[in-house]
Amino acid sequence: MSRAAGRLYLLKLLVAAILLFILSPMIVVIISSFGAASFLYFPPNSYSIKWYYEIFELDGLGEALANSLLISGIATPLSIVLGTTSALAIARYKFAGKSALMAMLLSPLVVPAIVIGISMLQFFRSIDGLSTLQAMIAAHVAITLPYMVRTVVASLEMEDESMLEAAKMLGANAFQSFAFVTLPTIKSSIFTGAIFVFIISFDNYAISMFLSDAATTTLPIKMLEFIESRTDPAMAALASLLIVFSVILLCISTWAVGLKRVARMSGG
Amino acid sequence: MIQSRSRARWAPGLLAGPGAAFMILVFVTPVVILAASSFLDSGKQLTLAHYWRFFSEPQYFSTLWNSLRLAFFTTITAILLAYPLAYAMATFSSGWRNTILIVTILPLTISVVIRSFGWQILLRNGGPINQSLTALGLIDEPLRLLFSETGVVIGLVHVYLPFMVLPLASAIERIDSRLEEAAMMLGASAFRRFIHVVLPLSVPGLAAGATLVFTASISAYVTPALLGGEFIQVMPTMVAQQVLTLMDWSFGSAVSMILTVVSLFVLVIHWATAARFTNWASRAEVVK
Repeated sequence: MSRAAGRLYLLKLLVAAILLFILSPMIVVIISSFGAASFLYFPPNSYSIKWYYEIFELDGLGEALANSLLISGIATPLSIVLGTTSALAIARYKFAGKSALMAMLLSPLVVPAIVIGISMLQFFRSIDGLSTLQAMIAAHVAITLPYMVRTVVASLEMEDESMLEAAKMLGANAFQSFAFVTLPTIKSSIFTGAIFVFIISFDNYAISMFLSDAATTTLPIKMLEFIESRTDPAMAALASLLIVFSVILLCISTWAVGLKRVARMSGG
Repeated sequence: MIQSRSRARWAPGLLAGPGAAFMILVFVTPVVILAASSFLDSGKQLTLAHYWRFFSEPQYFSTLWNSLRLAFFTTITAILLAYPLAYAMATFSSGWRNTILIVTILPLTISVVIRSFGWQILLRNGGPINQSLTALGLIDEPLRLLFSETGVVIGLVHVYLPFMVLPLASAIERIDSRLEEAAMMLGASAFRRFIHVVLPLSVPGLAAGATLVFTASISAYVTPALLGGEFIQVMPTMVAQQVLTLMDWSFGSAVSMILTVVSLFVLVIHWATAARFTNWASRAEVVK
């Protein structure tokens, strides 16, 4: 083997090792979920799938999952609508305060999550009649909006303007040109953006933690409670199911817009 | 015609209005109120006492130092791990490239609670890392990895590595491959090609990635809380402690404002210098 080929081989080995580092916490959780013992061991001495049944016996997990689905299920469409309309204004029109608007819409990405969390806790507590769930939905829309805006602005900038001109000349009104020209070009971005918004909202711990109370928690908060109080592999089983769920959503979004666009959406 | 022109004038307001109003109400107002309460004493009088308290007591001040140090180590480690991945993505076959990209993105879609749980299993005293090190005879006593700075840095690197890899990979991809070929024909070794061609031309991506990783690490709350426990105090965990445990809202809000300013300061430095990095890289390309 030549020196160059040897070096390439070493680089490949190094890259494989780093990929293993990235995957290791997920692999460890999945393997330990199949342990038969009532204490979580890695690697397990004997294997069983009984902890996957045990998940359904856990107190309060169902409510937390229902809350999470409700919050993310309402926050996602709100984020889609507000994000898409704001993105249309930014990408299509010139107006005073446009860069200020863009800065404000993206600011949840630069303000530390803990600061967002406690400021919302302080603010929402002062509003009478606002339920915990409503506060969490509003918070989740605010923190997911930047992703939606960024994704849709990027895809609107790639749009062919001559198509809009043509639609206008053929007598299409604003709604028709949106429905038949703009929407078809940005719909895959909106779809993938929506998947990411749902994941970010569903996985959120840092902000939900401050807004939740004893009666209303979300799945990540409840999971952490169980992780800290239980020593058996039941939480590893639940975590494994959620990992599989994430892999499926990632496959769907890759299929919809391609790996490159998914990468651009998730990276800063 | 007149109708469409007037529609165009109203359109941006109609389109942007709902999103802007929502963000002002739900995001800007709370942050402004929090900022204001950091300047008020218990009698609602203006004061700088909370800030003075932070900077005059070494105990609080050292927390800022902890945060900066952990963010620094996290950024350096992320750079070291990201270069091989980004370089491989730009130069290996598309099979490698897609595998690296998928593996890099996948953790972003998995809750930080689950990832920290995985690291807790890996890093604990009887965990696989300590067991293998003991089996290899490298250590006699288990290393304290969980609830230590090492554990927190490992967790933070894992969470923020994608933000380093992705900008770095796109910077390396943009490098003209003829430059490396020319260096190779002139007899430069792989190491010298990397140092003199790839490294300088990837500086814009490196700067962008390092800024993202650094600001994200000093702001991170969940990873230090789960992997550092009560043993590692950083700015975000101190804010949570002041507000949730000690109920000292005004001091907690002052600490969170200091955290925000430090993290924005790093971003502003990057924005102010980013153009220069890009110019530098493009000037180097003109030399060809």
